[in-house]
Amino acid sequence: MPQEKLSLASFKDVNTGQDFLKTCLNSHQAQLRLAVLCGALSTFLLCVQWGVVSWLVHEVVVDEKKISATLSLIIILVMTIVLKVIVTKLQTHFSELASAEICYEIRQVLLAHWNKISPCQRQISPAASATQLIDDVHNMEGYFSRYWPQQMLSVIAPLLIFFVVLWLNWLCALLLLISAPLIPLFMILIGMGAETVNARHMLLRQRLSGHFLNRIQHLQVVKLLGATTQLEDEIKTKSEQYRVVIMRTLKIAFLSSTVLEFFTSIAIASLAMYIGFSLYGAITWGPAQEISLFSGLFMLLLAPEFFQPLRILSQYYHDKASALGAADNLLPQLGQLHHITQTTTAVERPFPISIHSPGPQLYLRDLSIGIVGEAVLAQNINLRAKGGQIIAVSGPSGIGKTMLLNTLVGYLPPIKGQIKILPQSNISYLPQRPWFKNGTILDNITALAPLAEVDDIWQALDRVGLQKELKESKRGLDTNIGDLGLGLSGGQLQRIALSRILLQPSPIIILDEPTAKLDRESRNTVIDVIQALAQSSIVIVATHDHALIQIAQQVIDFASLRYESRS
Amino acid sequence: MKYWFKIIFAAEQKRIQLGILLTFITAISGVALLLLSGWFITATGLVGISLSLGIVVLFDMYMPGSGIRFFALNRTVSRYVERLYNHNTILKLVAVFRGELFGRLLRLNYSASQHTDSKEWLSRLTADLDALDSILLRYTITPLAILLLSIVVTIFSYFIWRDITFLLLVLLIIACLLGVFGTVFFTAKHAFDIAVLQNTLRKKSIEHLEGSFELHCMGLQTMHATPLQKKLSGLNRLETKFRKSSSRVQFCLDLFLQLGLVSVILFTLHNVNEMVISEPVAVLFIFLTVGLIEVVQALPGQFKEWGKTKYSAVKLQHEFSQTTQHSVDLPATSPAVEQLSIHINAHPFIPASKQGLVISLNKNITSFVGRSGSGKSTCANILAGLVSQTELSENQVQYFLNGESLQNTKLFNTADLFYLRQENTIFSDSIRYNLTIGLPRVTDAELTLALKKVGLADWVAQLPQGLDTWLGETGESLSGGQARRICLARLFLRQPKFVILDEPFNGVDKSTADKINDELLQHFKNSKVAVFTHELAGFHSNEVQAVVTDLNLA
Repeated sequence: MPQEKLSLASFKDVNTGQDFLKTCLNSHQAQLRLAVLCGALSTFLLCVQWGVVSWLVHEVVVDEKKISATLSLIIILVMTIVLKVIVTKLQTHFSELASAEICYEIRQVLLAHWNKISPCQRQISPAASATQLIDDVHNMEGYFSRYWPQQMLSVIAPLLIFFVVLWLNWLCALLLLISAPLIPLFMILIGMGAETVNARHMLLRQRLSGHFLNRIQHLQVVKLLGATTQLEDEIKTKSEQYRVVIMRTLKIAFLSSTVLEFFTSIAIASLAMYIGFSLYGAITWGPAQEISLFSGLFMLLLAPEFFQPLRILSQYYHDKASALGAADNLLPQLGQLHHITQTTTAVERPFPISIHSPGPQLYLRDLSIGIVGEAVLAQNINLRAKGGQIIAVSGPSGIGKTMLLNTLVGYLPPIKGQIKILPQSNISYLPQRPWFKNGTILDNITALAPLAEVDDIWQALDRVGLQKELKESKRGLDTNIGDLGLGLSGGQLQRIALSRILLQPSPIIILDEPTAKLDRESRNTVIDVIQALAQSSIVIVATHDHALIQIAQQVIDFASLRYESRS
Repeated sequence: MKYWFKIIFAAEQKRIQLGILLTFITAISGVALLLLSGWFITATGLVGISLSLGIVVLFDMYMPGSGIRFFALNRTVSRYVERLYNHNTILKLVAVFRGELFGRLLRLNYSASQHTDSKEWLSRLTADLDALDSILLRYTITPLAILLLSIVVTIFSYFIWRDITFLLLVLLIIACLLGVFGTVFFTAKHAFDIAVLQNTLRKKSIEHLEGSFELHCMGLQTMHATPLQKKLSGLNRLETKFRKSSSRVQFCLDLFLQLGLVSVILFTLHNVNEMVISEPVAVLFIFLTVGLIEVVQALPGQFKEWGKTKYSAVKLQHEFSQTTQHSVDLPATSPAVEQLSIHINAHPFIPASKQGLVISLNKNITSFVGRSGSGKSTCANILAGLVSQTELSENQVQYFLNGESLQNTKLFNTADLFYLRQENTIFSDSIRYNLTIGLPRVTDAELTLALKKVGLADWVAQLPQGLDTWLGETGESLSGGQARRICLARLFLRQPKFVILDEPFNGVDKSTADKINDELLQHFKNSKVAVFTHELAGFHSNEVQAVVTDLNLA
């Protein structure tokens, strides 16, 4: 059957976690079915194996044959056993192969999704997203490789064994049926137990994690308030409470598997008694007289195998629960993309584009920004800018400057109006807190300016006034920047971030408060660089720094939403 | 790993021993159920044949019958009890470790705690600690119970039929070695590497996502994700390798055990031919082997997580074995504030310190004024003694007491100092908890009085749950001003000698702020107060001796 790799499109119409898992399963049906087939084959070989063993014992014990006279039986036994072990290995091979491929593909889909979605649209923190990529997908593995094949096998295998026993002795088969009155009932029983436990467990864990995280984040204050000892006791108490609740739920969870265990034991015991009494001659009615040592032993050996698939399934049940939880967790994130692609449809009126102008052009027409359906922060912004201009967005903090910038970049959809950038190009963006990753200065520069050569980098650093400092430092460009930017001052970091833009400037450059938190000297350097950048590009800068506002050709004053043009 | 085995064993020796015994009883009941059933059927079969031939045989059918029933019931019950008991043991231990680990986190000094990543600590407190349960449940109890079972089986077979003992022993020893050491040898490295790679991947993907604001608009998103993608396929390769090697071990063990079963069958049946043993005993040993195989077969599954557990164990051991080098003893008495002066030189976050800045608090109220970015909060941190090692070692900050340079920055006893930081800290807990945290015993009347002073008493009174109302993420949402006033109310429950207030009235409206201002002046008549505000009018005092230090650059 044709198999398609999972892609973002595969999950287009998926609405529930259940559907999500099903879609994944469907993409690797062939291998998973092969695994089930191997499992069924291994059950069949198991029946053969125990049949041969029982027959061998019967031959020697009842018919008093010499063991050497049963060579053909022994050869069959060895061959069956070897084959069964091989088939069992094949079963794990196929199921794990499928599961590994599925998980890999889900991860690729997630990564592709991350790269596609606007950073503003992401509703969960990067840390939570990373957890989804690594842990949630990992949690689904067991469902594909273990639970799903076993779910099939837990129907096929007992059925197979039931028919073998039925062929041997209908009363024993009936006994098995009575011991496992309704297999679906069992599954429901196990399912309910495990599900409630899992749900409660997850909830508790989340609460406990939330509690820990809350206290860890406020560690300094805890110490300042002198609550160290109090908190230590508090954590101990919480852990202890957690244990008590977990134990309470485990009692129920283990009970369901104990019920299964109980029926297994009872089936073995009652079969053994029935067969024993029949052989002894104490039971004479029904098919008791037909029982021989062969069929007796055979049925006794098959009895535990009848329940084994179900017992395994109950062990795997938590795989299903955690996979479902993970899928439910993932879906809302994947769903966002489809949501977004629908909203960006606006009727365009032609813009007064001047074809003769060589540089970039930016038009804003009747632009309203804010959160769709919630709040409008600014209305009817109109702007016409071309290369070589600096546009300042001014106003006190918290008024929505950053939101305007995010709308310009395209991360947020405008509530109304249009944005036109010509020619269509990349945009350089410097957020208020520039991004730094855990790595060297060089790593951090090349992440955003991948084409830059080392010579260019030194030149750029010279222009932001960092060359001397870094050349003098021991490790130069290999100086490590921790993920919190430790070791370098805020001003230095800001200038490194600016040098990245210098190395690969886009026609449109957007800067968010580039001079805040800087001392006077670095501020002047930064302003010089901004002016240099504005020679060919359009520079849009959100600021409340007067020096910056002064050098701007146009100002969007957010406080009064006054638009001011200076020519 | 050894470290944890020792600690766990030392902590709950008795419970662990009992746990092993219970597991052993479960295993032996299962084996006994099978072997007794096999023996019973063969014996009755033979008796039946004899009877039909007219030979009189005396056979008690009821003893083995009740034995079978006993083992059947025992297996079920002891399995249930064993699982509960052992889980309880490890959960108890983990709870204790968790408290201990948190204690260590609390005792980190300022420099060290600045470098702590709260997410990393959270994963240590939850996932890593939980991973330790394998050490008890999988690596201790299971193999030891199997060992006990092997010993009992050996003794049993030695007394029933000496010749087979050797065969069973060889079978068991090789199978256990393969199951335990084979699994660890072939899979542990892969599992460990997977855990390491997962951790790196987690960090790298967080970085990648954090950069998306800058990467996305430059069209560099996909390019920057390339190493991440490579790591993902690396993870996929590693996991495949891990699975392959663990299923290979399982395959070898299965094959070995099954062939072992064949040899036991042939050996016993041959001896039946030779009239060395009776038929029922032969079947008994065949069933015994079947029962043992079922138990031993599970070993690779138990031990394949070894590498992963090791990863967590190593990470945690690092935290636990570090002796508390961090904690600094607090002085019994705090120094008189008049004698304290702090020199700040060329501090990167305090522009005004370029030419050197001296802070000394010789008046009752000292105001510091500076606009945003002038390093107010850094100054406040320095005053409170929260300085990093680099700040000290590069002489950016120097403390002088009575003119002598100080190395120990823990100047004040926590009871003597109150530092209201610029950010509001609300714990997700009740209002009562949020106010009384760190205080031994506070009456409701005192709480209400403190709330009254910050103008929140009426608000709390109208809440349905009053002081027990839950705050924080999952509870009642507070406005910035309310949160600020909760933090201020903590102040009125204490009588510290020395108070640092960083933007005390952030988000509080003017008239309320004025009222609280007066209450503060009243409450701290006898304390030294340092106030950091962005404008001079941010805090007013009628004290003649108030001094103002301007942090703004000239």
